[in-house]
Amino acid sequence: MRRGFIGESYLIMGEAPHTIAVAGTTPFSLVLAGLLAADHGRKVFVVGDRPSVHDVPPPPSFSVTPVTRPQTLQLALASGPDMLRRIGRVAPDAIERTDLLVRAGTPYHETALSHFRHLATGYGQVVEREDADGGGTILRIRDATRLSPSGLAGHVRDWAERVGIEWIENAKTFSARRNGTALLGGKDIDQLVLADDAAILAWLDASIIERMGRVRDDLAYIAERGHGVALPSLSLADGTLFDPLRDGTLAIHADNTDGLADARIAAALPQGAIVRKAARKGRTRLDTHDGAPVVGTPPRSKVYITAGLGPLDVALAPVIARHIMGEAHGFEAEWCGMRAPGREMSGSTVAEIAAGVAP
Amino acid sequence: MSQPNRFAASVPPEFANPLIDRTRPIRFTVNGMRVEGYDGDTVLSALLANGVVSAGTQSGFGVALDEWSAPPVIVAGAPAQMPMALCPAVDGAAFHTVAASKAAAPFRRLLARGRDSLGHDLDAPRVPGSWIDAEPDETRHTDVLIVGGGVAGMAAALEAARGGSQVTLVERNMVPGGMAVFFGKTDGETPPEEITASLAAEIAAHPAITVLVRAEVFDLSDGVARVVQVVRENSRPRPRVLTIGFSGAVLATGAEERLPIFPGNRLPGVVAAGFAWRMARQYGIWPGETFHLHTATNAGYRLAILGSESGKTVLRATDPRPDPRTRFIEFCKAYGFRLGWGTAIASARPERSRLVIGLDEHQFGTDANEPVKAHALIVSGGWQPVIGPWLLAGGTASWDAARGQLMGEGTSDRVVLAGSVTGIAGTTGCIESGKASIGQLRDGKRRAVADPRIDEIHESRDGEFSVRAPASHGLPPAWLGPSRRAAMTEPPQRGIATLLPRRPGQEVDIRAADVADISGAIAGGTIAPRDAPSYSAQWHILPQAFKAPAPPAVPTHSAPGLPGYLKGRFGLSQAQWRLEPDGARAFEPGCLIFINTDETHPANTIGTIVSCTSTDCIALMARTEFGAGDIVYVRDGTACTPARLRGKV
Repeated sequence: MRRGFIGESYLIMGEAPHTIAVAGTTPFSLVLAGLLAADHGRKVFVVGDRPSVHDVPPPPSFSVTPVTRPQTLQLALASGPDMLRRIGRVAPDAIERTDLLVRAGTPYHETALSHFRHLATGYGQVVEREDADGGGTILRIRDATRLSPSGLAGHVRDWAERVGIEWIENAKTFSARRNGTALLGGKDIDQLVLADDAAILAWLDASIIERMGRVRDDLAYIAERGHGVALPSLSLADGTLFDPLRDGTLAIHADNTDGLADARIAAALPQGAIVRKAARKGRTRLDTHDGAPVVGTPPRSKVYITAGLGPLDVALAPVIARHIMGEAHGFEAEWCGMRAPGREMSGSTVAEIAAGVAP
Repeated sequence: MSQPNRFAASVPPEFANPLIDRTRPIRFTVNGMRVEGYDGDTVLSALLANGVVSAGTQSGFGVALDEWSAPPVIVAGAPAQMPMALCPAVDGAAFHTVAASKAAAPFRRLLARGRDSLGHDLDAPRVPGSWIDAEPDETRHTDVLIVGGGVAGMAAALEAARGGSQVTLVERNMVPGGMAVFFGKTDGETPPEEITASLAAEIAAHPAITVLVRAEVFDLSDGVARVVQVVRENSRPRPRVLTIGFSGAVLATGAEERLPIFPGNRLPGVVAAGFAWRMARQYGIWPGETFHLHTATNAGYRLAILGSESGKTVLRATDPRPDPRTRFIEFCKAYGFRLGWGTAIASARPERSRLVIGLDEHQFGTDANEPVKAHALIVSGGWQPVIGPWLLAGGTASWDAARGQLMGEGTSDRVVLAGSVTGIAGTTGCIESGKASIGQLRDGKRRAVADPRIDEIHESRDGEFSVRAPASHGLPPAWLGPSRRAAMTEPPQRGIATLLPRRPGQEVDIRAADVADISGAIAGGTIAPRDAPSYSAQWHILPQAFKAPAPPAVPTHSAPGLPGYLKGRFGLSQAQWRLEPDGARAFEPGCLIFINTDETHPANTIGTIVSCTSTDCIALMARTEFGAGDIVYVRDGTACTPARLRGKV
């Protein structure tokens, strides 16, 4: 079964596309588009609104976050540092070295974090266990690199022009075909890549989405200065993420599928902290059923999709770009093949620590 | 303290019936400072009457005390905060203003220009009134909620009540009426004074209409409005937070004045024309003996006439429009005011108790030789529909470049707009719009409303949103909005000046934005007009604190067997083994297992600890040549401990 997926993957990617449309507006989408244009020499169109510096940013990307599959961590650690360094040259204020705190919250997540800690330590990462106020475990991942979406947003326009990316903000002139190609104002595009959850939900058949995962609602806030949160911190049990920004405010991301994002955030804040809302934005996200990434083309469709990469998305972007171009070999190809969209989700052999509900 | 800003003697009929009762003087204190007033005053109006015209200091300059800057107040002994503009002044009460920080005592007087300031340090982080985080004192339901008691709101309330609905009308001021009178009467139409009086009388007499005065809707979503009202209880003011559920709501919230953007636009003494008019009409207050009127609207000229008729001196009246035409200008000419068209305010600077107002004439350039020195600069910069509640209710907004206004768009469940908030200008149109809004609530269909206007040949349209960035250093900030969230940036420093520290306060105060902040930022070029819808949706929110939680339950994941993230970790032939560690020690879950002590790389691991106590240790192992009795090595950090495989579980 596994071999078949890999074979299918090679088959699809056998003929590298010349023109590629990357639908998505997250930093990962833009980085992926940039790699396809700059490293692989393709004509790339980005479909979606340009990120605004005023937007409540999407969640940040990190060079390392809790995962339990050694292969995923190995790939991220191999390609991430160089990737983030390159982004740092384009957008210096987007890249920052920081410690990341990860809070377990439940015994299940404590155990999962323990697995991650030993794995990450084996790969040379400094990951320390700290006692949490009121019990539980906190891991401090030292010296992680963070990509701040708001830091990147201000540089996107110049950078896109430099690498020759064309921006398609008016989606009316754009249509996708099931065979993986797309039509842009009467012009054929060889390959459509759905590179973020919003793009997947907008362009992909609902039946394929249902097979892959569940649609969830996220709520993101910017909180006023004076919040008292010094470091990025992730509550593993419910996915609540605090991301202190350079301007002194705090970006907060929480699951709001049940309308209880505010309560989750309040529970995760330091005791006694009065943190005020300044801005708010709702988003939808796709949680894969097994909590693991999805990369490749779904059965009976040749549209390339990426989902569930989590905060390691940018670190893994070079791998995904090579896979799209059919240039992924060996370990990378196997990793991507194992995470193809058509895989069996029940009893998945690549399942990850899913935020919220365990697979 | 005397009341230097209170009208003394004769005033025009428009100001002859204030809400205050001059036969009932009162005395109270604010932050220990003695304040005199009259029954009917608010704390804000009494302070202004007593010459307290500054809320404090920001970026090194004073900030005008008005509805935008007035800090919440508390009554001594009671912690509940009240909006100063809604809080009645009460004889003998001791009020205190609430702010994050006040200037240090030795400097307060210096910063405060004597006794004309509350002395707040407005560079400190802003803290909104505590009512936005408060639990409701009362919950009620109404069929139709009307927000705003101007002519549109009153017409809507009557229309709904006549149709059999129970109506609640929420009004900020002590009496409904709105701003219709401010715009003056039009030939051939019933004077707005008569219209508002008639509507108000009808409302007061209608049993199905409840009017909440001194009340403000501060949140509106999901069919529920949250209102703060200041009531008198045992002769003391007290805030009351109400939650009002509604079947339908009409937002007749009107329009507020746009703040023209120029350096010094929030200095004490700079007063919006609409606010100046309301203070004069309701409380008999005028900001100083001499004033300069700068107006981009026709109605603004009325302030020159009314001020002059009240015994104040109009030093000059300027208009940025090159050729404004309005009947009010003819009156101004008849009074002999010095008028100037095509003139912008270049800057305003404080000088003792006056403002030095630099003018910039389109034709002749900056007239540095003849600045105007006046006690007050009354500005009328055009109007911005008050769409804040509309945005909170789920409506959207877009920038209307022709009007220079952020306009409400889209739809909102059970909520409709009426009156000047929709862009309607005339009294007749507002009344019709109010009535039509009730029909729209009933059947969901929007109705066209006629808004007859005088031809432009006779009455010019309002001028553009005026924006003037600082031309040099050292000027007071040119705030983009009245709440002073962000200011126009100064020109870059050159030469040796680059070594000097940058004046604070030029960066954006990152907090939720008012509609006026957003429209100012668009006009000032810091937000692109195309970003207006998304920016408004994201940044116009209630700045509530995240509250103490009832945290949602987190799944316990207590299903038996291996957790999902370990399935297939070592291939499809992986198996669980019981281990016996050397020395009966316990390992953490996740410790990696190797074939020898040299290996450390996770890629070469043959297993991992699943669970381990001092008596029972289970590992997940890859299929290898190892069998029961063989030794493997468990790595926990730098320590590597041998363990014997006992058998499969």
